[in-house]
Amino acid sequence: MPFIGKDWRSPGGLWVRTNSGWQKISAIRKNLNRHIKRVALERISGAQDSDTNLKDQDKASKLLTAKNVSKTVKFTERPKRHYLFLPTKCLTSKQRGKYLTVGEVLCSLDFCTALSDPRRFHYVCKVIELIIEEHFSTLCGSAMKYLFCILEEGVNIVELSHLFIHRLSTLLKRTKDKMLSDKNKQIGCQALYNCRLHLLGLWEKRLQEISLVEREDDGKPTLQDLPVNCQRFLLQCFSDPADVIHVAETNKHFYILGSDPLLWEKLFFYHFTEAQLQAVLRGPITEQKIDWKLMFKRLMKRYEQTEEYTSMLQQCMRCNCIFWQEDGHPCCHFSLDETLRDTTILCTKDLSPKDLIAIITD
Amino acid sequence: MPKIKLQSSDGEVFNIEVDVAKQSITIRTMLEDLGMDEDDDEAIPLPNVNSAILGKVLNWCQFHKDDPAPPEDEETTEKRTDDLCGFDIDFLKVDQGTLFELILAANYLDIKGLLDASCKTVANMIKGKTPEEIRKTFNIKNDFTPAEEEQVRKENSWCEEK
Repeated sequence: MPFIGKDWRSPGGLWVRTNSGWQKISAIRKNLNRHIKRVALERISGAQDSDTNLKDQDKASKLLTAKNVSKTVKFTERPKRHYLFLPTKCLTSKQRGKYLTVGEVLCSLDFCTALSDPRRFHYVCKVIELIIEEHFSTLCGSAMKYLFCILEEGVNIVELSHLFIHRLSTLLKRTKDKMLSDKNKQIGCQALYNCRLHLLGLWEKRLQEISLVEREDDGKPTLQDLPVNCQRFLLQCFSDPADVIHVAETNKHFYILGSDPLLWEKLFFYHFTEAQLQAVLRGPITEQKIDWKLMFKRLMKRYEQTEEYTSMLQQCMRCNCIFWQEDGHPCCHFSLDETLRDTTILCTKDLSPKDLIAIITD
Repeated sequence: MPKIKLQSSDGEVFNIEVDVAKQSITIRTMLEDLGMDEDDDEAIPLPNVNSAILGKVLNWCQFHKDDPAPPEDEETTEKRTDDLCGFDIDFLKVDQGTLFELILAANYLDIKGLLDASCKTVANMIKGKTPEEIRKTFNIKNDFTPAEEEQVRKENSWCEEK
């Protein structure tokens, strides 16, 4: 008579040989799952913030508090390299898109650290702005996570420096608007979505609470005490006409300085060319008496303004690598003998934010 | 290294290398016009700069003594304000009063690099701010009447459209 044990109705367990002897595979799976849950809970729970008020959220979202989510989005394990090789075998950008995503680019080029460099701040902000405007709903989970990491880093930087508060506020507002408008296209659960909205709200509040340090009467020179040539020199530092106009709107003295035709002429030719000017004039430029401020206003609607960045990403035309200007990259070209190097090919090309997005996403 | 003496407005004398001091076009012109030798014991008086600011200016000049000559104003078409080196960023982390004193000193001594760096620092403090925020930051008195202010705002509303 066959032996009928306790589990005689079951098909029987699958046994595998391990270092510690024979074990049932279901037991191994259970242990593995228990281990994964424990690691996940340790990462998610962490230190509980008792001040966070999260009404009307389910249990899972209560765990995803602002502090906890911000902990989980830190990419501390990822190696910090600042260059990225574009896949060369793919001829079309569509094929390239399968191998290279926005998230990969953001992570590989370490945009989070780049934001803390004052020379790269505006460049990174512009890239993030373009991603949010045009590709927010197509971002994968890790890209979205990293994007929020970058935004948090931006808030921390602005809080410390008290500079470019409006720039970052605008960025956060656009992100929030996109999240609300593209709600059904978001990756992740409802709890994560709610938490991210909550985070954006918290960051906006932090920026609003940054109080400007008001200048007191300490007997030392003020902006108005500077000689006129210094004040003019200061106004010439601005590339955005809005900054010139905002200074001009502070008082009558700066209004006169801000209306200087020479200032507006230099600003005009910084953004636009003679050919663009000629396109809107009826006769030769030399025979015209031009109101440069008015002409700027007119051409601003027709043409794009010049964007200049101190530190940009560059593309090596030889090895198809994208890298930060100052950091360089391991180019295969320089490993060749001097006689074999082809000096006719242009070595590097600056990538404007639009160029970068076009490479990745077209 | 040949040295010269500079005397601040409050009587303090600074003994500095000629190459460092010659970054100031004003001092360079004084040395050439007055025919002063490096061995002269007589200090060059700088009545418009006090010792605290002169010390800082000379510290800046010492760091930048090997820099190439800055381009002429007409040649520069760049409008970047975030290209300051690490030393300049830290050097100019001072209160507003000191920052403006450095601008006045750089203007008087005609040190283009320092004037450039300090004006860019002020420009960064202004960028992105509304007129009211600029007034608060720099303690600027608004002398427009409400009607004038409104008119100016309407006249310039085009720059806010982007």
